[in-house]
Amino acid sequence: MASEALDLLRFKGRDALNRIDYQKYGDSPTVKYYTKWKLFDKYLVNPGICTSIGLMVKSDFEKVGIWKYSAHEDIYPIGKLIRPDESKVIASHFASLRDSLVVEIRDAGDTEIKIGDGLGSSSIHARHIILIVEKRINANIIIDATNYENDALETLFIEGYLGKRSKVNLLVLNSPPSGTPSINIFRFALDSHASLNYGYIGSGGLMHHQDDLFILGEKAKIMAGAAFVSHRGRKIDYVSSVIHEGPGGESHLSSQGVIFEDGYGVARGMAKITRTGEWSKTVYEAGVVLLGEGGKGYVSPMLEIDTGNVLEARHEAKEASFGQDQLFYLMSRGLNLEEAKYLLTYGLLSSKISHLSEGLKEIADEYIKKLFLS
Amino acid sequence: MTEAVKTADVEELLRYTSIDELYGWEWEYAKEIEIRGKIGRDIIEEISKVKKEPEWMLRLRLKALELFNKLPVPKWLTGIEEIDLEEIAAYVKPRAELTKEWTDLPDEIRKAYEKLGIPEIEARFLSGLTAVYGSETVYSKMKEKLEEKGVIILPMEEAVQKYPDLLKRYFARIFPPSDHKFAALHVALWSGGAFVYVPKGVKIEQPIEAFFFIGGSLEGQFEHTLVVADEDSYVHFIEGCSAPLLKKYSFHDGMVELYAARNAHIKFTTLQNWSRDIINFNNKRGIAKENAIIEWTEGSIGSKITYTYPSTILAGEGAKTSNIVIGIANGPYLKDTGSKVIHAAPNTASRIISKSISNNGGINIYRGLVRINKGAYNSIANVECDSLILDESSMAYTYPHNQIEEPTATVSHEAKTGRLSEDQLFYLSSRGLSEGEAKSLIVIGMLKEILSDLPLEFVSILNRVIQLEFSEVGGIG
Repeated sequence: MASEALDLLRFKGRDALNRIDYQKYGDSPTVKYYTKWKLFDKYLVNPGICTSIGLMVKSDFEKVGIWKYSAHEDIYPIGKLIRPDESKVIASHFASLRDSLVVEIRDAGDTEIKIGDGLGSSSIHARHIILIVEKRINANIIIDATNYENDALETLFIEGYLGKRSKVNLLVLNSPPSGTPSINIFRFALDSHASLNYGYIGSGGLMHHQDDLFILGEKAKIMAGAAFVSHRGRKIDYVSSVIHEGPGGESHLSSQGVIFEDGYGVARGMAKITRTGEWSKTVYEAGVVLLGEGGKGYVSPMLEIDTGNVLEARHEAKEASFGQDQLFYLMSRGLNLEEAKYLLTYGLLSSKISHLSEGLKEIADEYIKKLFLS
Repeated sequence: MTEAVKTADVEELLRYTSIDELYGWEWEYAKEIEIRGKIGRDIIEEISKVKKEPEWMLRLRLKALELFNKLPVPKWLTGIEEIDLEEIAAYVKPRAELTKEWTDLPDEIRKAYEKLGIPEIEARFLSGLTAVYGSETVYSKMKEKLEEKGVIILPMEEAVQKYPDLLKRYFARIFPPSDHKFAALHVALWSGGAFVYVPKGVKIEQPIEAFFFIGGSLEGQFEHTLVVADEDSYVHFIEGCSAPLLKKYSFHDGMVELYAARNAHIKFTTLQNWSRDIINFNNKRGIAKENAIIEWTEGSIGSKITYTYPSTILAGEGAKTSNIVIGIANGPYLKDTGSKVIHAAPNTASRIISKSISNNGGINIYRGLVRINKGAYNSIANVECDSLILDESSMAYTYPHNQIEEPTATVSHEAKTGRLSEDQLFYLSSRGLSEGEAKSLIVIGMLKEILSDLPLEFVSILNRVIQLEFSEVGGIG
């Protein structure tokens, strides 16, 4: 059965695609855009509609209380947290979308969503997930976006809703194809007393990744850590933001990029406490390490505080090579320079996922090691 | 006949009981020339003709006009739409001739400076002073001993005539008009300001000051300051700004350019205390060559809206800069401040400290940029932003950008936004202080980086201004 809502979103996407820009404002007084949007142009000329949703849920969902729907069933609305007219690439995503995977978690358990292939000849491969965690549910979720096609602009959007007092551990492993650009937009809304432990590990070609986390209810908590690696010629723009709308919330966002020779990486985003989000606490950390000549690392952690009734609001940024003291210490214990750098980098990246549940942490740790071997 | 200059103005100032009394209300002053209308070639040519400028300066103005027409309004500016450039006067020459004696000035102009204690401060603590009223420099004087050392302190117009080679080398070169629309507007319309040249090896012990005063509503002030410190020299330049309370707004779009040659050291302190009717745009940039030091200290207290981002390009090996920016937004006013540093040479170091206080619905924004170019080996940059919000209706935003293209560099950035803690307020109130007094004490504490470098009279005046700002009668909400 066709969904009118989906048809309307596709229409809005196509309409906006030719009308709006990649982004309204430049990113800084000296950099017009941190993402090289021009490289996206050729994919947006005349995208077709994908032939599949390109997503698989790896779970015995009925047994553990996980329910899977199609957006055509109109059970949960699509395009509420991410609107087609926000930007050119978001419009293109909706214009090409076949369907959305809707996952509703009604009981405690583990869920894995895997990115799959077979989206057809459209120049945009659009994947869209609606993720609902019901109230008071503890859930571990892995999104494995590590091994997929390489001939289209890959888009992966998630709209997530965390119910009251739900507790979610979420790990995203992301390695989009290196030959084509990709864009991820993950938006999560948290109800009262909900808790999100989020870990992201990424590498890839030309990637714009955006996490937008909204604390809507009171006393919700977010711990988010991200680690990304940019190798030669790769360009990663990692953006992570939190907005406190509900009172008494807590958020701690931390992102770390490692930039190898001739790589390019940006760690940026914003922590905002609105007037209704009074007595909240937010800490934002961002950093990049340059490990070779020709690398470029940009960091921009922003704070917007709309009320004096704030418990704590601070950010930190650190960009550098490793300190000579740290390297000297390790080399005096028998490691050569490369081994010492490897060890320090590994330590830095794995510190970003230390807040995850044990099972997810192990998986994340293995993935970080794999990133280095590649 | 004019009265003799009073000498007890600072004490009188300290007796004021409200911020309105301090600023005073707009009063009439005689104008010789006033040019207003659509900003175009006619207006530029008229200003240039009034100033009897050489051809090269007119060409520079017209080139800037072309850029002004081409460049878009920067999208990140908020509040700038309030300015109607056709409504404000592009040039206002008061009926006063440039002088070296305060007693030569018309009473209504002289009293503006006396009210702020400027003649007294000059006599006791300054090496030289340039006073600008409206669009023109009305007073300029340098102590004789500096003249003997070859120091030049001149109104900018006079410097254009006397030192064209020096001016062509630096004027609008450090901050080119192509940078943005308001830099172009400034270069097209500039008038008034000071040129300072410090010869090799000369260290000027007492500061030099330029004081800018806007006397009326719907006036534009586009003064230009250029400080060139030759090798191994030292100079401390203080810039002060004030205006009375106006019936309508006025617009200030000034520019400061600093050039510190090898081993030179320039300190530049701004005490901006415009009244609440001034929209204040600043363009400030310095270039520091090998082992040179540039220190910016910006105290932004008054104005309706202020945009100021002192910047340094560290162009020589071992150059250093320190940029301290303090913004106070007390009332429904905006302070859009920040700082930029470009590390373009090896072993350079920078430090940015931003402190802001928002009260009574005030908004403080910090915009910063630290850029480390490839090849700026072993450079170090440190940024600290500290924002204090004193009530629930005020806001503080921080937008830093750190751009690193050199793997041996180290950049760190820390920012925190907080409120006045109950403990602090309780401690101060238990010692008999009212909330207003407690707030002003905390603000004065935050300003210590600025105050430590200033003559005592300046410090007394600033303290009083802040006490009045936060007192029950002076608080503007």
